[in-house]
Amino acid sequence: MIKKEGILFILLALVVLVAGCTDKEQKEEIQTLSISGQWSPQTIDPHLSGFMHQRLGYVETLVGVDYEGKIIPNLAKSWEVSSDGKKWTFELKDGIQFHDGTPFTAKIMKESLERSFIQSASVFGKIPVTSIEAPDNLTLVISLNSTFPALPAYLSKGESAALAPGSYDANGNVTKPIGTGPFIFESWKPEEEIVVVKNPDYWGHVASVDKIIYRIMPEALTRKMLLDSKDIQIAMILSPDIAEGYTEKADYTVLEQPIARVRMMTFNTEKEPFNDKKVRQAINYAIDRETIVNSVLSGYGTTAEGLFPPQFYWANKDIAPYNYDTEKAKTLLNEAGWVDSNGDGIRDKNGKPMKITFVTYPERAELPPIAEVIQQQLNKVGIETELKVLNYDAAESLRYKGDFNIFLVGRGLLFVPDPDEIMMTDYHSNGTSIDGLGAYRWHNDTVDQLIEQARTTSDEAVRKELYDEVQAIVVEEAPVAYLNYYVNIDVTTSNIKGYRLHPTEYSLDLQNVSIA
Amino acid sequence: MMRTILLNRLLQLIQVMVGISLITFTVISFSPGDPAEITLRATLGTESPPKEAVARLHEEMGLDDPWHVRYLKWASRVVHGDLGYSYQTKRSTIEEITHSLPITFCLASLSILFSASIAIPLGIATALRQNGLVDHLCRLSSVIFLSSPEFFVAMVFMLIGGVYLGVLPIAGAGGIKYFILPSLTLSVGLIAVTMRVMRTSMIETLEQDYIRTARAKGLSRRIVIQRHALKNALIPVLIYMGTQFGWIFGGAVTIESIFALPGLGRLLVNSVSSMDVMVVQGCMLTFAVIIVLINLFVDLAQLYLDPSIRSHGE
Repeated sequence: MIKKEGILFILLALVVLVAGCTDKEQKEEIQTLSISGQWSPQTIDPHLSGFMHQRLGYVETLVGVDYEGKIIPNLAKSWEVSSDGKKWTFELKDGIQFHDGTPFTAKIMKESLERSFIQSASVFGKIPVTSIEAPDNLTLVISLNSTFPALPAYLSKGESAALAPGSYDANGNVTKPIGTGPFIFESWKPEEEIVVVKNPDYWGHVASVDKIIYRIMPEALTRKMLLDSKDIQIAMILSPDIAEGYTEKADYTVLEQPIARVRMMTFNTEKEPFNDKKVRQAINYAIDRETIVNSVLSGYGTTAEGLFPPQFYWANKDIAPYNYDTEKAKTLLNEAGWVDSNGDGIRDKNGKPMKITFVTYPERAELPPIAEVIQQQLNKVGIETELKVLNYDAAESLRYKGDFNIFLVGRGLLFVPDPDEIMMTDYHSNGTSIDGLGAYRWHNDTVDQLIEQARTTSDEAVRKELYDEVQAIVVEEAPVAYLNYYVNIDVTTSNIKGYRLHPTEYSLDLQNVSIA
Repeated sequence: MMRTILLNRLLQLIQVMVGISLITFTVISFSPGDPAEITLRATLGTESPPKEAVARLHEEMGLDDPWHVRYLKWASRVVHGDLGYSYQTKRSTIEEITHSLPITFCLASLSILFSASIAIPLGIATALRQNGLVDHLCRLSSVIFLSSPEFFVAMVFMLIGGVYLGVLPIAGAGGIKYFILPSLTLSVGLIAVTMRVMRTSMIETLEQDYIRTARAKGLSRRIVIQRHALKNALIPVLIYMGTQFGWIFGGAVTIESIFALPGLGRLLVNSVSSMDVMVVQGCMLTFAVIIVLINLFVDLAQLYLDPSIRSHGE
């Protein structure tokens, strides 16, 4: 009886298994590049969630982003803005074709953009657009209600990608994204993989590899295993401790790239002691940024002097950095009236000891250990720190209530590759006076003026000068202390040539990659 | 008898579904964090989505209603046969679940198959030779198996099967061979316990009066074990494996994540952490159905194996 049952059970299980998991074997004589990362596109519709589709290079946008984070021509070869800043005219490149052979025209771009603006109202909703027109095949005119210099930056987001009319089904849902990029979308299995093939008729640099398989692996350790077994050639976003194991190996290449995300401390400028600029500067001098990068981040991080990493176009490269100098910190603290009058090792002023509340959150695993290092460093100049590590929401609510002296945060800087947004939310008094993650309740008239002035012009060089000045003032006034920038680490097998990490993660540019 | 069991289970299913959906919904509603913001973090691939965007989605998701109103809205949807959709992927809940259910089913069946085919013979062997060498070795290894963290076992299997031997795929979901390493990993923990349950149950059965009677009748030890003891000794093991099978559907998250299998556990954890409430509810209802079905199966099997229950019921 039992035997019969057991055999039945096994047979049943096998039938189900074979039926449920069909095997697919492919034997082709083509050059395939396998890469793996943790991101899974949420949907097949680039207009809803575009970043992964854009990075894999099958859809493209009107404008691109170069390796300095600067806006460059892409599907549009040039653009100009009317003198009142409300009418943008984009001239499109001639002779571009979608993957299905449809010519790329202003009319299709207009329809595609109009769909983007509706589908991703959450992204594009703040653009004061009144109309999009296509007066001829290669001209696209976007009219606005008010000036909006960041428009091109928004049009570099994957959500604004140009899609051929053949991408949609009868209900207007995307069934297969047909774009203009160097790769052609072939298939997608949610949470598993995306396969793209080379577009031999690409208008730009034609890819060297024939096929790319992007495998979605949520765990960094799994990506490492796949790399070790040579199942993949590029493992994206590994942790420093994993990457360290590859630095000595000849058949692997480790790549790192600072990205537009900074770890910084925000001072509560409303309360003692950080309502005094000298104290804020003193903290800046008391922190040994080098040690933090080396001890907590295993050397994978770049110390920060200003808001943006220096590789970025928008970074002010001439900022005078706060070098680690405890003597200077002590002098500044003394000048501010904080001295150790009772000899207990902790500074005090008017009978109150210098005891500060330092808040951070553990969702970004490296923040609490960084906070601990800073706690020790501050102790060396006579400041006692009470460290509060709370989950993000609890930490945030302490911040909104003003129940903190220092708040340590990892802050993304370029949601779109234009400084306007971060300047407005984090440093302009409109942004700092309400809840946010930038400078806290800090107000500087010159900074406000400069940021507003930068909004009235679309001249890039002029805007850069204005933003440079803002960055210099912010560092000097020190409402925040920048610590270091996030670094992306990818490891490739050493036969991979031409792979480069993008500082805004705009594209993987896999058309430049070849397998030796 | 059959009919009573089926009817009972059906009633139970409805109660369980209402209860579980209400509890899950309440817990999610009172968890900290704004679902709109969390959703946008994932769809836009950014740490801090713009405030306006969050406000917009907040409205779309109807998050301003009190939680009981939202629950009733959801429940009326379900009664009409619509399980809703995912805020993140915009796919329907049904689509999400039918995509991941077969994967977890393969994983669960293979693991149970592996563990049963190793643990049951070993359990019997150790019961028949108590305190022998095999028994000691098995006891030791079950302690080791049970105390090895899943990710560690996974790494060992990946290294051996994928990197050094290079015969099995390390991760991903494709054909049946993609399920071998994860199932082996999962079965390690199962073997440890199943083996012990089998051993204890066998020892207990062998001490029963009817076994002694059978032996006294002159039947050989072999026949007694095969015909009389095994059947009875298997009942607790079967019940245990049934619960394990159900557990894998929701509890194999680590394994599914390390081996990149887009199964039900991962779907649940992802949707819980992104507060994608309609998918979470869908998963919970699926679990409820699976668990009740497994219980039903175990009951029926027990009925079949143990005549005393049958007669007791009549």
